[in-house]
Amino acid sequence: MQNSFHSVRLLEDECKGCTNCIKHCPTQAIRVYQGKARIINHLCIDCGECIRVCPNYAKQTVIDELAIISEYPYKVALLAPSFFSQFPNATVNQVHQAVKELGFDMVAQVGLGAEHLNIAINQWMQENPLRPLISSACPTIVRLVQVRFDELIDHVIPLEAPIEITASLVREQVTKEKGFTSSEVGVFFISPCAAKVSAIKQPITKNSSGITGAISMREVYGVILGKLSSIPADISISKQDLVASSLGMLWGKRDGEGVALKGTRVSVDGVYNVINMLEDMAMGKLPEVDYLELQACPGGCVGGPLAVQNPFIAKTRLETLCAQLPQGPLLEKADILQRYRQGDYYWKLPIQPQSSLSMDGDISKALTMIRQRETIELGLPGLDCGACGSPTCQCLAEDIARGMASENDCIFRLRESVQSVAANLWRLSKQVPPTLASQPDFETIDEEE
Amino acid sequence: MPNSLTYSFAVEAGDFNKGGDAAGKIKKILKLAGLPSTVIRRAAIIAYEAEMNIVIHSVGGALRLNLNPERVELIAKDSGPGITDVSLAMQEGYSTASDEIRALGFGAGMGLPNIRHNADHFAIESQVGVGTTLEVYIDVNVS
Repeated sequence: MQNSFHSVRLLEDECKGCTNCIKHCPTQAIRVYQGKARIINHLCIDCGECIRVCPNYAKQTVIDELAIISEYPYKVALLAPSFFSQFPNATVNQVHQAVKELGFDMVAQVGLGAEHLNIAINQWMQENPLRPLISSACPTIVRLVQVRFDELIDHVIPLEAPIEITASLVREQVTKEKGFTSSEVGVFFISPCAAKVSAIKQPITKNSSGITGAISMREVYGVILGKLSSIPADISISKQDLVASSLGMLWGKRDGEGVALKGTRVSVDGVYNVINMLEDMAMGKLPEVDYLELQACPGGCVGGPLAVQNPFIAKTRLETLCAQLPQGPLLEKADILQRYRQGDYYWKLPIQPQSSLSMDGDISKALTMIRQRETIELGLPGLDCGACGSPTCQCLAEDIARGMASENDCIFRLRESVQSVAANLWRLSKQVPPTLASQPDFETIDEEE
Repeated sequence: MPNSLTYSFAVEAGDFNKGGDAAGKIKKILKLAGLPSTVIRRAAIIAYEAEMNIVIHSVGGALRLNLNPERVELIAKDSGPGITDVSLAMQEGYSTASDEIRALGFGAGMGLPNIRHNADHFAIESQVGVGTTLEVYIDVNVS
């Protein structure tokens, strides 16, 4: 199946088989089997909610280690706005310098790609009357639409995410000005989330990503923090580094994307809120909205599961930082429109719908299974306790109808079964063989005499 | 005889809290059935508009789904008060909704036209004092 790669993984040894993650997974993609919380591949959207809620740190992200950068002659770090929000007292320039001291030759701010997108999206909205449009910047949202709201795929803006646009700009500049071939340039994203890692390793809308690898914010956080203290606040940025204005930087937080966009926009953060919003949209409830800015993490990317700082502090920090930056845009609109017309920003592939809820490829068979699901559900207690390993009774009923579980997985059903067996045993135990029983009600020859 | 499923959901008048629940459940069933996304989209919009019509305009009723591999049939039936002039109600922008209802974002007079627009077959019957019955279906394979 397509999109089989997920960066969220289970560390088997750490998993205690509790039910925290199955209860919090927004797409009901986790089941506890044999004491371990397994992720169902085709349902996972890499949102990282399980990483957040696991008390045993058993859910992790598969991600590159920093050492990997040494394999490339020219090393570039892509820094998201959320990265700058992690260090409360550091200037943008200090952060650039600290990252370079990790071994990078160049730093590029992802906010720059976002600024390109501001202009490209405005143009796209002018040319396409379909509304509401869904932002494609958050890869978890794109994946969510793909697996749960495939009827809304047409509404997703088919333009690249800011990280991909920034990576293209980096490659363009480095190959032109430094004389490296593209394969000699390692472009690494320091990621606040698992979803962007998956989008880099196995992109949905193109064959391969322009980004070489992803490194976790968590991994570098401590080292950067240590370096920052010895870097002067007034250090200057090297000219080759790519920088963004506040317009691009604001994309790192909720309500920041649409600042430069025309029309009515609504911002939603948190994956559960986003799902409710998409449900409403699918029923035609949002006719007056032009642009839906949807972000899976609380507060936007600043609340990413691999970010270290408290998301609310990080959001405020980013706002403060943006107030100190040039207001932007720093770009020539004509240049960006030229790139837009060349097709530079478009997805290379459309999103392929994956109707993950479907019971069976054959509709008639699916209807039979739906009927089974309902009969089974009637026999379940409706407590959604999770002890069976499925998040809800309805979900267990679905799993049983799909042949993935059995009714006795429910401890209440199991108890009923045991009670019924025990009652049978009790009844049988009181039965006495005829040789020992009292005389039945008929006359015997002895009595006649 | 094709394999079919039937559901009936009671819809209460004036209950904006639960309004939309039946449409949501219907959408989930259609997803489980694995219908094409275009069919699900249209059916969800019809179900929601029909359900809200009962909530807003009627004294109560029910939304019914008949589903088989060829067809999604939705029947909205209420027990009154009935529509005085059906052809007027079918016009875009015409609505008898109160200002309070409009303030909630409903009553734009697009409900019935929107239902007809999304359906392959559309029939409405209404009798003042008795009630309204709306019957629509979507063909699964044509669209």
